[in-house]
Amino acid sequence: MATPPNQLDDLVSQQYRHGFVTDIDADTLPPGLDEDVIRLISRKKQEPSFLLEWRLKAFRHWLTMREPHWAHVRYAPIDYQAISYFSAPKTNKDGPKSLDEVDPKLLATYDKLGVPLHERARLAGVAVDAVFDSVSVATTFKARLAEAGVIFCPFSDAVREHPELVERYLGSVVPTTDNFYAALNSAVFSDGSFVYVPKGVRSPMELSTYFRINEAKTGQFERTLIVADEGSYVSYLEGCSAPQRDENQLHAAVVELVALDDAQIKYSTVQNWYPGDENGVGGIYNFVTKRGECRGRNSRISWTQVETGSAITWKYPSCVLLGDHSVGEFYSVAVANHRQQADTGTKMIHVGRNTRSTIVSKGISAGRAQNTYRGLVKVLPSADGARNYTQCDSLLMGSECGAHTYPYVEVKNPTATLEHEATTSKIGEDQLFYCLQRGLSAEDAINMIVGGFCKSVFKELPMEFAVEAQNLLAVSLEGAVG
Amino acid sequence: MSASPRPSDPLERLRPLLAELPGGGAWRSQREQLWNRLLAAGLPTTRDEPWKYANLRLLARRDLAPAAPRPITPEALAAAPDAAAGGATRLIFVDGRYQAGLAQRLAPPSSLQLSTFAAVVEAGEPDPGTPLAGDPDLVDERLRAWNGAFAVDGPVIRVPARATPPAVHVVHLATGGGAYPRTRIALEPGAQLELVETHLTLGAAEATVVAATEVEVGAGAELTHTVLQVLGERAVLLEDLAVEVGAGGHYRHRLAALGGQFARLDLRVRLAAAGAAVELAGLLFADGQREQHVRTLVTHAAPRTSSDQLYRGVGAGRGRGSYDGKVVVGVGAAGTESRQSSRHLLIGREAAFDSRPQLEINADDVKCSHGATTGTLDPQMLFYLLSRGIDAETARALLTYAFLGEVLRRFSVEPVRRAAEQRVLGRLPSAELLREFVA
Amino acid sequence: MSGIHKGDPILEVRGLTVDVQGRRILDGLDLTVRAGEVHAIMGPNGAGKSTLSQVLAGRPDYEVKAGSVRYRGEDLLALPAEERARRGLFLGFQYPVEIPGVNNVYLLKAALNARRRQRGESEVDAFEFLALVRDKMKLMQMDESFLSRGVNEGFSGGEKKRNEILQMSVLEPTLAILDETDSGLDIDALKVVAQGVNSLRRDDRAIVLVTHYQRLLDYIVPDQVHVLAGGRILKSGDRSLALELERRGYDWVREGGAAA
Repeated sequence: MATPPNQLDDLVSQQYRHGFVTDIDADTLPPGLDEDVIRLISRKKQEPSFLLEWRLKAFRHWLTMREPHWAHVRYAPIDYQAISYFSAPKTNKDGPKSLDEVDPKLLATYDKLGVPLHERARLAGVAVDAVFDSVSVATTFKARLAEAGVIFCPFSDAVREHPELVERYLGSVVPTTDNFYAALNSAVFSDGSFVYVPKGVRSPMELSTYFRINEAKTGQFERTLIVADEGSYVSYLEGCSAPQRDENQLHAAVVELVALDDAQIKYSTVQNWYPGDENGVGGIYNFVTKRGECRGRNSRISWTQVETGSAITWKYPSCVLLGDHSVGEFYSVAVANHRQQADTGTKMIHVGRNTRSTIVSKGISAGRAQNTYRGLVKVLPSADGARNYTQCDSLLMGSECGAHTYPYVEVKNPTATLEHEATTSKIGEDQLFYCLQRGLSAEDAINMIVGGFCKSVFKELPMEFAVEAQNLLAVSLEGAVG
Repeated sequence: MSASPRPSDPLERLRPLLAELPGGGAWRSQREQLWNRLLAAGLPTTRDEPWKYANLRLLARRDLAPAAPRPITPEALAAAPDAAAGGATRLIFVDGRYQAGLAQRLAPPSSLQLSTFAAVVEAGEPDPGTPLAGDPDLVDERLRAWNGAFAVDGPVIRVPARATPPAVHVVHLATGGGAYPRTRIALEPGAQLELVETHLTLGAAEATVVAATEVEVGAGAELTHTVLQVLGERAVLLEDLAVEVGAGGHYRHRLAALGGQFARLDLRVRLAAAGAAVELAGLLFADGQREQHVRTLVTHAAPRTSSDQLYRGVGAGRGRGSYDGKVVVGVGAAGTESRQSSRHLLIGREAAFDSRPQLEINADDVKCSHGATTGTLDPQMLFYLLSRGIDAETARALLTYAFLGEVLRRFSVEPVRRAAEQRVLGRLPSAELLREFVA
Repeated sequence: MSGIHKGDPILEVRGLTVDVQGRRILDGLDLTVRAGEVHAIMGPNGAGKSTLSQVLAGRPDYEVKAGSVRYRGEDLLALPAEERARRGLFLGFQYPVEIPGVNNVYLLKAALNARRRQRGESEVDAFEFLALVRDKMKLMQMDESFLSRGVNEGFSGGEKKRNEILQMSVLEPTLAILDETDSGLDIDALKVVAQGVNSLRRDDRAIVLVTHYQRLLDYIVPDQVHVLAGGRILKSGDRSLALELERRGYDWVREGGAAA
């Protein structure tokens, strides 16, 4: 059975909805990277000397490293000297104190993006930190969070206000030497979000950061650090978008999570960076290192991601399960359409006893995209009673796309139990036909079927994100079946 | 890949021997060409993805020089019971060299053409195979190059179109030192053959076998290839097996990897034309300090091709093993069906198993799946057996045996299946009780 | 033959308290079963019926926190699962596990010989055994293919339950605990299973039926009926108790209306 071609051809790629540029006065460094640039970034941000030293160490190590090429992605060489490593909207010298001081044009940008920054934020009960190019511009609900003892602020504020926490935890999960992009990020990161949830505190609301790259020829290198102290709980959401440009922009973020005894961190991402056009021109290179350490007993870290954007995605949100009885989870939907390339997955490293991990990955490939799941489950000799369950499914829409699965299962303990299942198939033609016969449009039918395929991941997202994710999925797949 | 060989490289020690090998003209230049390419690529290390789980450092102190011809007596051969298993037509190779006196032939040339590489070389005929046809950067084909440079002999078997000769049994006996058997099997269209290979060692010889086998299954032809690997405790076997299956052809590979100190099979199957099918099944028994590794690459290069893989590994004692299986579905291979199942049982405190069931899919009309598990015996099954009065040790042995039974049941050559079963049983506790069950 | 006489105590459970994964499932349970008797233990879902069965059979991951169990005067809890089986305790599983690759008949023969060895009897040979099994299979209306298949491999729900009773009839236990043997059976299969169980009623044997519905008791008439809820026996009585339960539901017992 063939899907009615005309109807589907009509659905060809709609414009990237977030592809506008905001015309604001920005403070941007000229392209190029050397130690002076790093010193300048550090000085602009009035950083303590430990941080400058840390950055320089990372930079020197980065110079000795080579860009990794093992992923199933292809792109022209990146000229790291042609990128600007710092761009900040020009505002009052010390930055905005409240939303009222934020450039109204910028707020309008967030409105366009649908970021619930203002009243909408209150309605949604979400505290938002928005990172615009490299700088955090506003954090809402600071007061209410402070009451509960939760620290949620731009990374640069944390450096000034809580240097002891930053020094203690920064780089403790992803060391500066970890990989090429993490080293680069450590050298030049400009801002990001910082969260500390004290002992026994359950964060009174969902925390959220919205990232946007606006300026041309800039890279974005944000750094996020979340520490959940003993017995605490926090749910954190991040979203992102970028203007439509016909050049490739680099986004190399690092996210570090630390969960102590009985703490739980839920980290959700809806990634919608500009994916480039249908011919593969432009789009963000999203080379991100995300890792969480379950350091405490009974701690738990869950990663949930919906990846629809970026020209190239290279990211493997991981869990190191150190504490006995700790739990790591990874739920992912990755959509690649047109010429997008996604190489994403996770690592679950079982160190502690009776540690458990779950991986659910749903990959959807359409157009001429390449979508790869790459995952490692490793059980060390110390991890008695470790358990992992992995489910990894791919859906193919179109004969020119690729779906690849590269799982690594490494077991060095005989008391462990690991199960891995994977399937790859074409979108169910009988399902599609059934829906069409019941009068649904091909578009609705596909959305419904794909939605069902992704359901087990969407249900892990906070409610308001689940709706957004479902919509994004529909937009990303427009024109996918022909 | 580094271009210059490291001085400690065991290959360096082999270089002077190259000139002494037989064959002139084209053969010599082929050897040199293969040698140079191998040297340029270097021996695999665990930094090479395909060798991540199989560390070849144990080769460093081994004698890899091709063993001198060492004819053996029928009595010596009879002492190796597995040599007798299966097969009507029997060919014996000692350290990679043909032993004409021990052969037994049961099919006329009209249904089975037998020769050896030594005969081909001596006659100055061109290479009947393509020792290196594939990957130009050699990453996956270093074993083939190594074998090709040093191979002096090995079976050359051809089954003419539509012929169905009785089974052929090839016995590879290693007595110590290096052995480089090269095998070529070709089935012309519509032909059928049951081929059995046995790898064994005379005594506890420290033998290193680097084998390469090429198989061509013509249109509509059918080959069942059963391998019983029961090498001694100090033997190393590195084998490269490349198979091409034509339209509607069918290739079956059955592996019982039970012996050796370290064994690795690189099995590459290309389903080259419409309707070609492959079934792979293997059991990897890694007990003591043994290592058993299998890597498979199945390429679906044409429409309506199918592949089915079933591997079961047991890690006992300090044994290690790996299954690294990749299925590639090429552009245009519509209607592909592919299944991969790999399960590993760890019963030794220090045993380890790695697996990597990979899918690379570039067509949309496909049904592919893989399942992999690693773990210990199912506690519910164990409890059921205990609750019926079976003692714990027997129950564990029984479940271990049953776990491998799934593979053994696919062995269609009865004597080989029996031999493999007995070998497995012999390694398990309560063997006597279990034997009764199998009988 | 067995030296057991009608009325001898077979099973004496006192104050049995069991945790499963940190949760209290049995909480001070008492029960006495004598030779020649059939007892039915009924109770709502989650009452601890299956836990009781599995603990008595020696499932290792269930934690006995307090109490004692005597089986023919011996401390049952001190014995590993296989020893309990060899001494004549048989558990018919609610969900008999499939063990592909382990032959159904082999298991049965090995089980029978393990029991015979324990009793100091000689092992049966293959011919004797096969004749015995064929005989019993007829009773359970099982076809020959059961002989060659793996343990419960690919069996339907009804076939699995029949296989359990077949095993019981071959092993001739002193105490048989049949855990929800009726669940998932259609009426014809239920009759076959019940007939099999009835044929095994003897003066030197005790049978404990664990069931959710009283339907099974229409076919196997018990001497005593116990209601298990909240981890202990709340009420005991004769056959009429089962009928009353059927009419009034388990809440009637739980709400204390039936407090004895």
